[in-house]
Amino acid sequence: MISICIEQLVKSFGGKQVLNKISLSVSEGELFGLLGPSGAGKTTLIKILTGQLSYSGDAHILGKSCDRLDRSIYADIGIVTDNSGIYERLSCYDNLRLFASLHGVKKDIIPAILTRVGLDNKRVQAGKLSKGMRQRLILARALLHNPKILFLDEPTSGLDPATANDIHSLLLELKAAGTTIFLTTHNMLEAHKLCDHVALLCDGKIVEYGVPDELCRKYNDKNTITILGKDGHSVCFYNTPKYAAAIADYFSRDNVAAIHSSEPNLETVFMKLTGKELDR
Amino acid sequence: MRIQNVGALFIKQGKDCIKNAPVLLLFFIYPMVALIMTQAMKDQAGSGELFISIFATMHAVFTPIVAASSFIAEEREKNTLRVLIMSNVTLKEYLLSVGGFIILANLLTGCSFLLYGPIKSISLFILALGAGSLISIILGICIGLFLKNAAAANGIAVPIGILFAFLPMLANFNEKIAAVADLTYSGQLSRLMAGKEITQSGLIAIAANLIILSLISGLLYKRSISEE
Repeated sequence: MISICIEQLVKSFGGKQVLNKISLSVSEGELFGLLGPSGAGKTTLIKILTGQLSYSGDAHILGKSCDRLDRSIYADIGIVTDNSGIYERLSCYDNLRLFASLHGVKKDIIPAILTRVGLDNKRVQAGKLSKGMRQRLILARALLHNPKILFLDEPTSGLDPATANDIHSLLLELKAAGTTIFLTTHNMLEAHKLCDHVALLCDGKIVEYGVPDELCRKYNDKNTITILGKDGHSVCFYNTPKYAAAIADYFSRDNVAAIHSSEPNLETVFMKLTGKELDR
Repeated sequence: MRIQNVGALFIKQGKDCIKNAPVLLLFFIYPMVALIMTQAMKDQAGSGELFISIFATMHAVFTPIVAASSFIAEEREKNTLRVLIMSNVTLKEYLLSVGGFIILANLLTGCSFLLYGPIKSISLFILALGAGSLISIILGICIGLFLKNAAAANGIAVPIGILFAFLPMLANFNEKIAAVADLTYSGQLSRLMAGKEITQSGLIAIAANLIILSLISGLLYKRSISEE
């Protein structure tokens, strides 16, 4: 079943076209990554899909047109953006308690959700949380009502690797539980690690779409294998049957310290396709 | 309209306000000043009633304007209003909870004026306190919906609050100011709080103030719905 379906979507601000004939679909239970640099139109697309912006073209979420979403859709989606506000004077628990009431969820689940996102001190004032902890609280809030689709706009941007890793683990858990996840990021490693499918967005256009590994293989122009010998020297072979015997020889002589294929990573693919670098 | 949403937001507003010292102080400042002034001048006949009516008017007018605008503008500035809207809350439910909380807090703290000295009609006094709070909240909502950050909202709400709250007091010293004050809801409510009769033109002035502010808030409400 398709959770999100977009066809020929166009969005302009003033005279500037921010999204240009975007088409993609996200299946139920899929972790989809929308990759692109700042200003590519990622956040705009999330706003369109969650009914916050008008557009032309077709966009459907859970079978409903995004330009005619009613309030009931908010029971099925959770949103985490970098500017999602929290009540800074309230405790983490009280922040979640408010939203549990609004979603009609029992407050008993709040401690479990806080533990799940790694926020054990539920009485701490939200305003005193670090950026990583704040992001966890926003994620906990988005998960309170067990949404069918979770929108995450740069969820690990600016976080330390350990916190980012915790969030990655949680996202994989959610995916395993059947939640559809729409993730925007400019972190290609994150996308490669987590996503079932990715779309590379640049200047409002999708320049490539597919499974991360397949994309990397598709743009593996060099198609070489580099062998680092135990004696310290390295040698590069074309990845063709012609060099199979030579490569096998290295193994038979027990002289292989490491072996690398020349597949590019998603960042290299992106640069190759757009001539642009992603933000760091 | 979901009462459950209004209730949850009302409780949130209360918890948040208790930790928001500047706004919390607003609800107590005029009753405290009135207490000090009435005690300091209690030997002078009639001063108690005068101070109570002056400070009760300020309490009914200034406090709700600044509190409402501050609450709403802060929610917009920190993007929490948008989060609420995306959590199945309507702007109407939100404004009702904010307004309800401010009226209740203002009435509860405003009732302390009743302890400071003789008040000719307690029911009229509470009616004036409630009506003043309601109209002031609408004015505060206009400011909060018009501006998107708390600092800017306070920058506008404080002078407007001072203008409406102090006009009745200044009217005691100048006839021209008194004529202007008679056109405002605060001027008329101040008369009620002092136990004076309110004329038909006074009632019309209050109604006109209420209608004008309701229309403005309605327009800003529509604009805010599309923005949020």
